[in-house]
Amino acid sequence: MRNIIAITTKELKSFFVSPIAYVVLMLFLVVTGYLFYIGIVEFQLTYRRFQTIAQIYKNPQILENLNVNAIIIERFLVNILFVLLFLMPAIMMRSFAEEKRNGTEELLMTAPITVNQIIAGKFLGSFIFVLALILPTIVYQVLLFSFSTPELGPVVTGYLAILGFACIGISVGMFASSLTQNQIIAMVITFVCMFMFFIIGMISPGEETVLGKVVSYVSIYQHTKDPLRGLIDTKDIVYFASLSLLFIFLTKQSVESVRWR
Amino acid sequence: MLEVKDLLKRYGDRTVLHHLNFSVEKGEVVGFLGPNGAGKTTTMRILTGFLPPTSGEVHIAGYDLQSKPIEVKRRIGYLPEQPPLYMDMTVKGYLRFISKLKGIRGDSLADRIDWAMQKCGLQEVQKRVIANLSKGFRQRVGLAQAILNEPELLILDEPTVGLDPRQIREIRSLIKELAGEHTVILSTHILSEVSMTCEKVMIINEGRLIKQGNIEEVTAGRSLEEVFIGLISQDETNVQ
Ligand SMILES: Nc1ncnc2c1ncn2[C@@H]1O[C@H](COP(=O)(O)OP(=O)(O)O)[C@@H](O)[C@H]1O
Ligand SMILES: [Mg+2]
Repeated sequence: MRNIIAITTKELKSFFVSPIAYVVLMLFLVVTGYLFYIGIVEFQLTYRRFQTIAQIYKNPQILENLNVNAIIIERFLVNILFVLLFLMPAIMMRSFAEEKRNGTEELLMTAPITVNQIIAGKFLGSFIFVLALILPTIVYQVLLFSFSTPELGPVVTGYLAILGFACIGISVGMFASSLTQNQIIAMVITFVCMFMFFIIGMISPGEETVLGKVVSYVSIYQHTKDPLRGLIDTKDIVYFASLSLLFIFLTKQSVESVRWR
Repeated sequence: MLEVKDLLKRYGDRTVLHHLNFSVEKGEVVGFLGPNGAGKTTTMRILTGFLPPTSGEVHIAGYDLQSKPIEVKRRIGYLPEQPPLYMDMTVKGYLRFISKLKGIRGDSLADRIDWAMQKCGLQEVQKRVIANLSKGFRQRVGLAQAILNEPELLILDEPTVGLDPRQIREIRSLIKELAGEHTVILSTHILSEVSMTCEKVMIINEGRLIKQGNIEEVTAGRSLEEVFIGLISQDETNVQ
């Protein structure tokens, strides 16, 4: 465990000394802040429209159909997913690629620690970084809760889905980064891979065929849409865990295979 | 201390180490001498557990490398050909990280780091970021990293390559100093390095050990250079 913590601490420090970390943090805050603002503005416009309709029909109950959860929060969380889709590759590209380029891979591999500990340490470091990225957006939710009365459930499950998505991103990113010492290549591989998981559900060939089943199993969309609405199923949890573990396993193979070639 | 039996390494279908057999006794300083591409780095990477051998056995400090890699790794210090540094860390921060990796903790941590920095003459630069250090200082940081855990066996891959003459002199005297306390294997393609720092020499060419023994035995009154060139050209005619 101490070995894992040593790696995790080193990863976090190296995130925060690199300018990329701050660029990523800034970008994330600016973009999510902007998206949040757009969400509010849209809600206001919709609200006015509904007000007019309610006046015309003299039926104030129409306004109660307006749901803060659906209109602001769900969209906002989906947007975070999209932003992460673009940022995760940049966050993860250094992971192993930089160690290879610096020759520090040799240092880690000849230290009295196991490959599993190295991978676990790196995973944890990246996870904490992503957590630090996402945590500030809770302020927006607090704002919403102080001005209106949305449901809490979908917010919680929505954030869990985002973290599940982040775990997949971290694992895929580690794997891609372990394949090359070129960070740009690592970034592109991670992005392409994540993007595939992302869009594959939208072009699904239907649930009936075997291919359709596979596609809908792999699809990130299929497994985030319910949690974003407050419904979380063990199926979704199994999905996030299994896909992450698959890529962690592949990372291990790749890190070890460099030496078997 | 170190025993290598029938070590063979292939990359694809190219054999780069042919059945190496050698042993190193406790306290010896051994020069691993050979031209570029002879297989020095490959051998050292196998000894440190970075690369697996295709076949053969390695025993270090009484442990079998294959079945007890962590026990072996605890007992060695390794300076790879390219010093494995994190450029964005300070010297002290780097050594602290390595100490943790090597399982040095608690009260002894600060002592060990101070000791290694003092040995390698790093005190004045301990707060500097590694990226801003000269090549000579970087090599010393690499050495400090290798000796942090007071390894029983120190493995140094071309420790003076790329340094200027003054830095080379400093690193050599540092190695000599360390030699008193550790068993050392250092690789080099520079003949004078061996005669200056080592008691024993192993000469490797194209993946074959062609001579090993005490320097006096091997040279037998001639200069090491004569012996080396003689052996290598003889070896090449043999192969052809
Ligand atoms: N990863 C690799 N794949 C294929 N061949 C390699 C690899 N690494 C080294 N070699 C070859 O093995 C031989 C020995 O290399 P090396 O151990 O680096 O020699 P030295 O350190 O003595 O200069 C060289 O011919 C080199 O080209
Ligand atoms: Mg070499």
